[in-house]
Amino acid sequence: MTAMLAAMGILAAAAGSSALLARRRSWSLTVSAAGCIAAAAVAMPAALRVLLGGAMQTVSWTNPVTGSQALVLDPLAAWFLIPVLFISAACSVYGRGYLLSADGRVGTQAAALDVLVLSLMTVFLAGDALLFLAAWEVMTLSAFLLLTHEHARMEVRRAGMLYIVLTHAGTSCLLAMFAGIAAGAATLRFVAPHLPFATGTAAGLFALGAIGFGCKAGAWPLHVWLPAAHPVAPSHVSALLSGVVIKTGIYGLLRASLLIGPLPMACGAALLGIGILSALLGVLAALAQHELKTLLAWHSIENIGIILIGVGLGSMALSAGRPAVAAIAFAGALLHVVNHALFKSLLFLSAGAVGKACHTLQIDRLGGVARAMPRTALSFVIGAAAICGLPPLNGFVSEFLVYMALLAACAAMPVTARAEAVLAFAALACVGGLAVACFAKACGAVFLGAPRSPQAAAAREAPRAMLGPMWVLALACAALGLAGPAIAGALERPVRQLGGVPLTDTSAREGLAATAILGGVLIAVAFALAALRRLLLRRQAVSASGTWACGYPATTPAMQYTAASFARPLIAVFRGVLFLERHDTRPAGAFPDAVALEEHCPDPVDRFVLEPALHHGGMALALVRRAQPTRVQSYVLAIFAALLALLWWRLG
Amino acid sequence: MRAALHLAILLLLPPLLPGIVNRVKAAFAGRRGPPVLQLYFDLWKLVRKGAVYSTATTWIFRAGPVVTVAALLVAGLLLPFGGGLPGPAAFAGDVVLFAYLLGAGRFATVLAALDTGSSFEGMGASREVTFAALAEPALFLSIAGLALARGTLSWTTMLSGQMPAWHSFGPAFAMLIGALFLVALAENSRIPFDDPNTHLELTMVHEVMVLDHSGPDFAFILYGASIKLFLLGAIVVRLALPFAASIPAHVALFLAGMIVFAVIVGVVESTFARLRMNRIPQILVAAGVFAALAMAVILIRVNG
Repeated sequence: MTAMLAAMGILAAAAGSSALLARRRSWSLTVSAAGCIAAAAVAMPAALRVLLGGAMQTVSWTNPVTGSQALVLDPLAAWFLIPVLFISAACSVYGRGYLLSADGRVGTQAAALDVLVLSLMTVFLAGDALLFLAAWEVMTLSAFLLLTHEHARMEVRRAGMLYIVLTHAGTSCLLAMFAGIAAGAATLRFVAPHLPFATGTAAGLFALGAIGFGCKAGAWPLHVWLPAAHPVAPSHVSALLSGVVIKTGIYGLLRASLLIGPLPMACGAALLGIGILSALLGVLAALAQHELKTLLAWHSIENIGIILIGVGLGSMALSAGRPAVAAIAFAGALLHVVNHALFKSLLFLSAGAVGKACHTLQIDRLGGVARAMPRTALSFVIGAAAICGLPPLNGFVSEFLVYMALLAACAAMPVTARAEAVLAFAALACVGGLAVACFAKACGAVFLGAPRSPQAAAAREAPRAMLGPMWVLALACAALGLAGPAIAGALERPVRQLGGVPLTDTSAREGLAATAILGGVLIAVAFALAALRRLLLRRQAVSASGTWACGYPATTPAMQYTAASFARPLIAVFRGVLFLERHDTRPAGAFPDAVALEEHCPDPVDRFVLEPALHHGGMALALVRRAQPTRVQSYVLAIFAALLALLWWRLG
Repeated sequence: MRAALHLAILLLLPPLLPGIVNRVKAAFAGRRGPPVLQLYFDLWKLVRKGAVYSTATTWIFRAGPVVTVAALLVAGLLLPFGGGLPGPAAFAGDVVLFAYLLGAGRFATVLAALDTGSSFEGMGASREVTFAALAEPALFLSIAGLALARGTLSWTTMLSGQMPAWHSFGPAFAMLIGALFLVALAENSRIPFDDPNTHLELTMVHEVMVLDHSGPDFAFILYGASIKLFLLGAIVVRLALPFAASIPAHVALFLAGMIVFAVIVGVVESTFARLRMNRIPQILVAAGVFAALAMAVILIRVNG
C-alpha cells in the first residue's frame, strides 16, 4: 500500500507543480507526464503483486464525522488499476507532443491530467462509499476540464454540458444506491451486508447502480454524452476517456454487485440485454459516422456492450448456481476491459496524429494518408484488427472467452437463459462482422487510396514523441494476443473474487493456450508466405502502373469510392433502426447547376428523447428560475433557514 | 502421419474444386469445358510471372494476399477431413477461432482492395463486408446449434460419429446443412450471391476486389479462394456424411463427398440465375432463420 500512497503523492505533487509552471508550457507538460510515468512505475509492481497472489492490502482510518474509511487494494482493484496506470503514462507522453505542437494555454490540461489519474486510482482503491463518491466527483470534474480544452468552439461547450449534466444525473442514482447499501450494512465501508437484502431490495439497488454506472460507462440508452464528448477532446484525452474513464462504470457495477450480494436472475438478464443492444446499436451507429473520432466513440459503446454481455451473463450464471460458467464470463468481461483500453487508446492516438497532420478528421476528406504516415497507418491498422477481434491480436482473446461463456451457458442454464445466450451469441457474431465492415471503411477511406483533399495530400508523419506511445500500445495489443496462458493466470484471482470459483473450466484455459499457439503459427505462416512471395518475385520484372479503371485513363481522387458509399449497403439493410435522414437538392430543368445529397443518421435517443426532454425541462425550470433570488444575501438567508430547519428536525 | 495426410489434403486438393465446378457448368452448357486441373496450370503460370503494382498502393496491398492465405491455412488446421483425420490443431473452442480467421482473411483482402483507390474495388469491398456481416449470424447460429446438439465446442468432435445425433436431431441437422450451404455459397461469392464468371466490373463482388493483383499475388488470391471453398464445403460434407468407417474408407468417403459438393455447386450455378443485389440480404437472413429454427428445435430436444 505504501507504493500506492507514494504514487498518489507523486501525482498530487505533479499536478500542483505543473499548475504552478503553467506559464512555461513545455516544463508544465513535462512535469505532468513525468508524474504519470513515475506513478505508473511505482504503483504497477505493487498492483501486479496483489494480482498474482500477494495479500490484499488495506489502510484504514477513522473520520470523526462519517466513521471508518479505507483504501483497499484487492485483486479486482488491481486488475483495473494496471491499465489505468499504463495507458495514462502513454497518453501523457503523447499529450505533451500533441499540445506543444499547437498554441494555447496548457496549464489546466497538464494539472487536470494528473488529477484525473489520481482520482481514478482513488476510485479503484476506495474502501468506503464516501471516498468513492468524492473521488468519482473529482474524476468527473477533471475529465470535464480536460475535454473542454478547446472551449471556444460551440460544440465543445455543448458536449461538456451534456457530459456534466448526464454524469451528475447518474451520480444522483449512485448516491441513492450507496445510501441503500449503507442502510443495509450499517456502515459506509465496502463490506458484505450482515443479512442478504430481500430480492426486491437487491434488484432495486442494482437498478440504481446500473443507471448510475451505466451512464458513466456509456451503455445504451444512457450513452448520449459519449459520442458528443469524446470526439471534441484533445486526442490523448479522448484516449483516456474512452480507454479508461468509462471503465470505472464497469468497475462500479462489479463492485456494487459484490456489495449487494445475491441478485435475482432478472438483473443479469437485463444487463445482458443492455449489452446486446449497446453492442449492436453502437456498431451500427459507428458505421454511419462521417468523422473518425465520432466513429471511434461509437465503437466504445459497442465494446462496453460486449463487456456488459460478459458481466450480465456472469451475474445470471451466479444466480442460476453455475459458478463455472460465471467464471468464464467474468474472465471474458475483465479481459475485454483491459483489451479495449489498449486498442481504443491506440486508435484514438493514431486518429489524433492524423488529425494533427491533416487538420481534419472528416473521413471523406482524407485518403492516402498511409503514404505520408506509414507508421501511424500501421498502428491504426493494428488497433483496427484488434478491435474487430481478429486473431492473433488481443481483442480476439477476450471475445473468444465471451463466446465460450455463451456456449457454456447454452449447455448449462435454465431454458430462458439459454435462449438469451443464443441470441447474444448470434448478436455478437453480427457485431463482429459489422465491426470488420466499419474498420475496413475507416482504414480504407482514411489511409488507403489517393488523397481526397489538399490537406490530406500535405500530411507529414507524426513526431517521435507521439509515435512512441502509439507503438508501446500496439506492442501491448500484440503481446496480450499471444499471452493466453499468462493471462489465464493473472485473471485467476479477480475472477475468483467475483464468481467464487477460479477459472478452472479446462476448455476455456485450454482454449486460451491453443489460441496463443495458433496465433504464433498464423504469424509464422504469414511470414513464410511473404518470404515465398519475395523469392518468386526476385527474378521477375516488377513494374508500377496506374490503378486499373476499366481502361479509363483520366481518373481523379474524387472518383474513388467514398466511405459513405462503402457503408451505404449495410445502412440500407439496417435503416429500420438507424433513422436515416436524407437532404437532397435534386437536379431541376434542362441545365441543373446545384445538386446535393446529404445523409445523416442522428442518434434516436438524442433526437427523440433527450432533446425534447431538455427542451420541455428547460421550459419548466424557467418558471423556477423566475422565483430564484438574485442577491447573494438571499442565498445566505436561504441556507441559514435550511440549517435551522435541519437542526430543529434532528434536535427539536 | 495423419497430420501429414491432413496437411497434404489441405495444401494440394483445394484447387481441384473449381475445376470440377467448371466442368459441371460446361456440361450443362453443352461445352467440353477446361481441364479439371486448369487452376493448377493457372497457379503454375502465375507464380512464374512478374507483378505490376498500382502507384497508389502501399505495403497493405502486398500484405493482403499473404495474410489471407495464411489465415485460411491455419483455419484449415482446425477442421477434420474425415473421421480418421481430426484437425491437427483442434481444441475446444476452435469453432470461434475458425470463424474469426475467415474474418481476418477477409479484412486483409478488403484492405488490399481499398489500397488501390479504385471505385470498382471499393464497390466490391463494400459488398463483400456487407454480405459477410449478414452471413455471420447464420454461421454462428449453426455453430451454436451443433455445439448444443453434440455437447462439444470443437469442429473435430462436432463433425465425427454423429450418426446417433442424426437420429435425434435429423430435421434440425438438415436445416443446418441448408444454412451452412448458403453460407458457403455467400462466403465464396458463388451464384446466387455473385457470379464468378461475370465480366462486368460493376456487378462483381469478389472478382472486382482483385482486379489489380497480378503474378504471384494473384496466384495467392486464387489459391486462397479455392481453400475457402474447400473448407466451408468440408463442414457441409462432414455434417451430411455421418457414417463411421476405417481410416482409408473414411478419407475416401470424405473426398467423394467433396466432389459431390463441387458437383452440386456446379449444378446450382448452372440452374439458378444470380440474385439482384438488394435481394441478397434477404437470402442471408433466410439462412440465419434456418439456423435459428434448427437451434430452437435442438434446444427443445435437449431439454425434453
